[in-house]
Amino acid sequence: MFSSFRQAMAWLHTWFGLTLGFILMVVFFFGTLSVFDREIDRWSIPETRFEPQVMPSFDEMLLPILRSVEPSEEDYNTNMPLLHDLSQGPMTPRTELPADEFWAYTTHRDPVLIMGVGFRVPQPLDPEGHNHIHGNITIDPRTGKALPDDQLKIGSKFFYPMHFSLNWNWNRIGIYIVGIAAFIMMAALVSGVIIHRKRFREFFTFRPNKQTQRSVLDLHNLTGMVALPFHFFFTFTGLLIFASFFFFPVTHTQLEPLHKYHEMVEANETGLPHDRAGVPAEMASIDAMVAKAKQRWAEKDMPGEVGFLQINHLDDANSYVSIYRAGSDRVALVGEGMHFSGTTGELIREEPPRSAIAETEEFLTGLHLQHFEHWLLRWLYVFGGLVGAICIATGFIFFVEKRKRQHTLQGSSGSQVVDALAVTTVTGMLVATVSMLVANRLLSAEMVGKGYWEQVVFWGSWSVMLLHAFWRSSAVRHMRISPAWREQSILFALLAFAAVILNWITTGDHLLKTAFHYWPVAGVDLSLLVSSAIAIYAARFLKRRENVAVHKAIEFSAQKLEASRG
Amino acid sequence: MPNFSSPAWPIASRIFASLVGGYLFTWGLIAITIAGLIPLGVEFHDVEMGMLMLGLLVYLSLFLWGMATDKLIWLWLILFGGGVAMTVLASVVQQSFLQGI
Amino acid sequence: MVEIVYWIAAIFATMFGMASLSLSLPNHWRQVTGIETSLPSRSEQLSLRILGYSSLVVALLLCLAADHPTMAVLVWVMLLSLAAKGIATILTWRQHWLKPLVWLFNRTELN
Repeated sequence: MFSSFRQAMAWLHTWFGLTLGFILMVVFFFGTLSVFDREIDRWSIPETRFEPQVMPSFDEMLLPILRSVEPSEEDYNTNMPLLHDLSQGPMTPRTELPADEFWAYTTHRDPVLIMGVGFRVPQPLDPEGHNHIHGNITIDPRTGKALPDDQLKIGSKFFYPMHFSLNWNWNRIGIYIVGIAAFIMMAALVSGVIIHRKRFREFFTFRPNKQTQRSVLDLHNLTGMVALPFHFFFTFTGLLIFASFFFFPVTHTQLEPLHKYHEMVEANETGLPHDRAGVPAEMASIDAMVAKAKQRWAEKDMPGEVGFLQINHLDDANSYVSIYRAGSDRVALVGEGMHFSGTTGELIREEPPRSAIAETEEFLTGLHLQHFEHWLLRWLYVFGGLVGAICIATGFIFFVEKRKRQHTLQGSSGSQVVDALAVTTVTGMLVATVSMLVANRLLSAEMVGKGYWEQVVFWGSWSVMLLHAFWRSSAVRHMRISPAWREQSILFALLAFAAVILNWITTGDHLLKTAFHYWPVAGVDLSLLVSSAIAIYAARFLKRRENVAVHKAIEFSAQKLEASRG
Repeated sequence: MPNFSSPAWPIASRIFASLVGGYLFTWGLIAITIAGLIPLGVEFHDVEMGMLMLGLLVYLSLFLWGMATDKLIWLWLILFGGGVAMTVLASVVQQSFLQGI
Repeated sequence: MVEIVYWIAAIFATMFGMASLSLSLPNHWRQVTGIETSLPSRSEQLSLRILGYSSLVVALLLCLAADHPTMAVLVWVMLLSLAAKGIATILTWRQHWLKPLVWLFNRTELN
C-alpha cells in the first residue's frame, strides 16, 4: 500500500497529526498554563493572595471543620443510587451518611488547604467496593474560614482539567479522547523523526526569509527536534499516569480478582486493616502523630513538612492514620509514608524503601505532575510546552501552505477548512483563555454562580472565534492568508492588556507592588503583558505576510490568464 | 451496504487492525504477564507498573509496524489472534491460581 | 541562592556547547563564516565536537551541584533544549555573534 516505510510514516504523521493535532494543541497549551495553575488561582481569587502555610493543628483547627463538612449534593444525587442497595431499605439521607475517611493536602504552592471527607454508604450493593460519597472543602489555614464554592479556581479547577480531560466529563469521555491523542502524539514524534532524519544534519536551521512553506517547515522541524526528549517524555508519562485506571484497566476489570487478593495479602503484611471492625472507638491526638512522623523523617536525614494526611476507618477500632511527607525538594511526589493506629497513636508501619520499578514510576509520574519547588525548572517546562504548541501549530500551517495552491486550482475547500480550524485552535483558544480572565475581574466576587458564568464566557468566546475564523477564511481559497490570524491576535493582545489593568483596578494589586511582594500574581500579570506584546508583533508580521501573499496571488492569476489566452 | 471497492477500505481496515489489534495484543500481553508472575511471588504493583510502562511502548511499536507493513495477513493473525489467546490464557491462569489458594 | 550561580553557569556552558556542536555541521559553519565554499576540516570538526560535548557534560555537573539529582537531571535536559533553540535563533538572526568561536579554531578562514 505504501511504497516504503518512510512513506507510510509520512502518511501517518500527516493525517493522524492533522486530525488529532487540534486536541493536542489544547492539551499542550493548557498543560503549559497548568505549570502555574495555583498561581492563576491566586490571580482569579484575590482573597487567597497570601503566603503558603504549613499544615495547621489538625486536632484544633482541621478536625472540627472536617466534622462539619457535608456530602456533596451532586455526588450524592449521581452516585448514591448506584451504590445503595434498595432491597435493604430506603436510601440513607445525604446529611445522615456517616463519615469514614478524612484527608488533608498541603503544598508549598498553595496558600489554601484542601480537605475532604469520604462518607460511607451504610447499606451498599457491593460490600467489597469502595462505596464513598465525597464532600470537599478549601480553607484559609490561618483562620479556618472556608472558600465559597462559587469562586472557581480557574487554574487548578479549569485550565488543569482542560489539559487532561478537555473538561468534558460525560462518562469521562474527555480523558479517553486525550488518551488517544497522546498515543498518536507519540506515534507522530517517532514518525516525525523517521521522516526528517536527514534534518539532524541541519539541526539548528530556521530560514524565516524563505517563502512561507519552507520557513514554516523549518520552524516545525526545529521546535520538534529541539525539545524532542521533553515532548516524548511528557506524552509518555502523561499516558502512564492514567494508564492503570483508564487506558489499560486490566487490574480493575479482567484481573480484578487478583487485585482484591493482593489487597488482602497487603493488609495482612502491613498490619493496616482493610475493613472497619464495626466497633466504635475514640480517635487519639493527630497532632502527636504528626510530630512523631516529622521526627522520624528528620532521623532519616530528610526533614520535611506534611504533604498529605489521611484518616481511615474513622471513629472505629480499626482506624489508622497515614501521614506522607511533602516532596517539594525532589521529583517524586509525596512519600515516606508513616502509618499510625488511630486509637492509640502508635506507629504501626513505616513505608519501606521503594523497589526499582516503584522508584522509576514515582520519578516518571513526578516529573510530569511537578509537585516540586523549583522555579527555574517550572519556567523551563513552560518553555518546553510552548515549543510543543508551536510545533503543532506550524504543522497545521505547513499543511495548509503546501496544499493551498493545489486546492485553489481544484476548487476544493480542504485547506480553507483546515486553516479556519487552525485559527480557532490557536488564536481562538488564546482569546477564550484571556476572555475568561477578564470576565473573572468584571464579575463581582459575591455573585452567585460566578464560576459557571466564567466558563460560559470561555466557551462562548471560543465559539465566536470559530465563527469569525470561518467567516474570514475565504482568502485561503484565493491563495492568500486569512486575516483572521491577525485579527484574533490583535483581539488577544487587547484582552490580555485589559486583564492586567482590570486586576489593578479591582484589587489594587499592580505590577510595581506585586513584583516586590507577591510573585504569583506578578508572574501572571507579566506573562499577560509579554504575550500581549508578542501578539502585537505577530499581527504586524502577519500584515506584511498577507501583503506578500496578495501580490503572489495576483501574479499567479495573471499567469493563469496569460496561459489561458496564449 | 458499504461500498467495499472504495479506495478508503484498505486504509480504514489497516488503521482498525493497527489501532484495535495493537490494543488487544497489548492488553493480552499485560494480562498474561501479570497473571503469570503473581503466582511466582512477584510483587503486584511492581508487575502492574512495569507492564504498563512496557505496554505503552509495545503498543506504540505495534501501531507503527501495522501502519507500514506489507504482510497484512500476519498483522491480523498476530495482533488479534495473539491478543485473544493471551487474554483468555490470563483469565485461565488467574482462575486456577485463585482456586488453588 | 547559590543555586542561581550554578544555573547561570550551566546556561552558559550549554549555550557554548551547542554553539560548538552547531559549527561542526558544515551548513552552520558556512552560515557563520559567510563564505559559501568554506568547510570545517575533519580535525576542526572533531575538536568542535569534543569541545561541544564536554561543555554539555560540564553543564550537567553544574546542575548536579545545585539540586537533588532527580531534579538536576531534568533541569539539564531542559537547558539543552533551551540552548539548542537559543543557538538556532542566533544562527538565524545574528550569525556574526558566533564568529569568535570560528576564529578560535581557524585563523585563516576569515579575512
